[in-house]
Amino acid sequence: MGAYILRRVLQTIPLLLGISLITFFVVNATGSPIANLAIDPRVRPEDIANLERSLGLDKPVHERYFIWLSNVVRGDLGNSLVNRLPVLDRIMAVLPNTLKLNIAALTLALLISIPVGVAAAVRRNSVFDRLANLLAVAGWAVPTVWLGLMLILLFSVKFREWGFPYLPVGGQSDLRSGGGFWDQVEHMILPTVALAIPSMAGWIVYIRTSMLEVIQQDYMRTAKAKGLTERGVNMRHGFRNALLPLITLVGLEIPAIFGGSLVIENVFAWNGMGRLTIDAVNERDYTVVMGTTIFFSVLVVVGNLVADILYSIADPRIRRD
Amino acid sequence: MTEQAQTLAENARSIEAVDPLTGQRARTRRGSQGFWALVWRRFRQNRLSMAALFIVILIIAFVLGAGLISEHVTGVTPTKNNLAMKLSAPGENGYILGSDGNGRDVLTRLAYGGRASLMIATLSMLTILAIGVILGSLSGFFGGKIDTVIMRAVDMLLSIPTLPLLILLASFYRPGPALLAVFVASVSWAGISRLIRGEVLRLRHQEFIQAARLLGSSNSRIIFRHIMPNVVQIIVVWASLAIPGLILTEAALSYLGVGVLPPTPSWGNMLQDSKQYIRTNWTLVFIPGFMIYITALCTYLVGMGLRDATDPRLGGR
Repeated sequence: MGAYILRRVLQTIPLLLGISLITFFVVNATGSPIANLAIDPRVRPEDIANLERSLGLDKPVHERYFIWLSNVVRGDLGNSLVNRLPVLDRIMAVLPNTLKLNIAALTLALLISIPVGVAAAVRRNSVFDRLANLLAVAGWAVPTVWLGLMLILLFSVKFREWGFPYLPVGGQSDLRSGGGFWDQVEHMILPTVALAIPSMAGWIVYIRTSMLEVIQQDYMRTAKAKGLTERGVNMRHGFRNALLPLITLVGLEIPAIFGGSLVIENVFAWNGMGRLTIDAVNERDYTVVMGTTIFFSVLVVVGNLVADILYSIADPRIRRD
Repeated sequence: MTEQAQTLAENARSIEAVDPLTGQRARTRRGSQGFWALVWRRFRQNRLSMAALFIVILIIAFVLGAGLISEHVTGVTPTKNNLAMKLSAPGENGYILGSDGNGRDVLTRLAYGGRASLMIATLSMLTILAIGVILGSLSGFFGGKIDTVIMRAVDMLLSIPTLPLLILLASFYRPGPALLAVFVASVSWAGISRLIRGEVLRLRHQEFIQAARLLGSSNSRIIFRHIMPNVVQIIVVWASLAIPGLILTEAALSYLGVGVLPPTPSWGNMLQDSKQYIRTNWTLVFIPGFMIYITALCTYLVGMGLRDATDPRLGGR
């Protein structure tokens, strides 16, 4: 067990190095990453030269990579070009918001997709099954941006017009009242739903397929032959086995959820890493963009690592390969 | 010599064709026409996918006819401002689908915007195929070091969140539509190349490949004449299922302001433009997003239909 975890942890090192190489060379491939500041006519060429010197951009590119890498490893992602704050501090300030939103969406997606997927498999080819499949396809193909905007349109704008209780259009809490617990929950509802729907749709299909495979296994027939109730067989023997691969699946879905979070945070003015990234892109603040990209990647790699370790705990067969 | 080898290879193929174990494969390889006719016959029985195909064809006609719509129906170009008539509701002032915040005609922009969105999706799909199929078959066919290097790269791409990386790329190089498609492709080829590798690995040890090798066929001949025809089916299905994802990626990037840049319209940047009018002119937000949704949904349904039609064993699952 310990050996497996150690090996798995060591495997992430080349992965992280590769990610750092890609990120660094995307930014530096065309020479100076702040060259595009020159588009602004108010910026004088000598200012850019000064800035390049102070950022160490006058050194050769491979040398810069190693300087940058050794700083990143020590947790120094550089300073923001816009407000001089350390990039890591800016990320840490908004990270809890992003995690809160993503964990809520993940939980919601699992809470709905597991029972729906299992029920669809148990009642294969029923009306419920077809409906679940159709909804899964419909939910998978929906553009997250548009879904978010439509939720705002219906539950914030139109409900307000019609005189129903309505939800806030964005942000984390009401600025006037300062925001109590329920106020914060109200602000979370729409972005969480918008973020959860596409993942939920994919998982319904997956859990259904996985459950269908388990249902055809011999041990399921044995359990039925022993005289257990249908429900007992499905829950005790079927359900638990069908859920095993879900651990890996959730791990694989983490990049997509963070990607969705980039979009949804911008739709709902949610003060998280996605919004920080896009603001930095618009401000041409390349140190922040690099920092958030690296940070997103590390979160995903760690998420996958945790998923793999959990899987090896849940399914001992995986440990010997 | 080559002629002789060709005849022998033909023989090798006919040996494979009568092999009861690979009977279905033989059908795939022998005449692509016979196989695809069969697929089409099965596909036609799937009413949902047929309806989706019909809608996809309508959408393609709509975006390809953008010039005609601009000339004969609306009479304006997609970037023509008319600030006096901005924010007209659909049907008002002669704007069939209304006008946006700069007084531009929504219908015209929708047609031109769809052209940009669909072009990017198609172009990146083709680029992904070019990269993924080549690397996947190299990896599967040669194995060893090549395989290790390519598959490590695949592992890496699959565990990097691609949207931040694309935003990084797009924000630094401000690409035009064609380059944007290449960027999207450059981070999305991992899935298909792994799929192709697996299939090539499986085929490599089959008798007809060994026969071809015994007859002195070169590696490239084996890959292009004997392996490729067998993976076409996988490629076609994968490509049709990938298009909706690529349409959604373009929409997200353009919405975030790093995809198709204004004034060129795309469905994604139309959403971005109209977001601020959600309280007063909700149709402005609804229409482009709805087009993205319908296009992604219908191409996906066509892909599903195609998958079921090429592999009847999967039917009903």
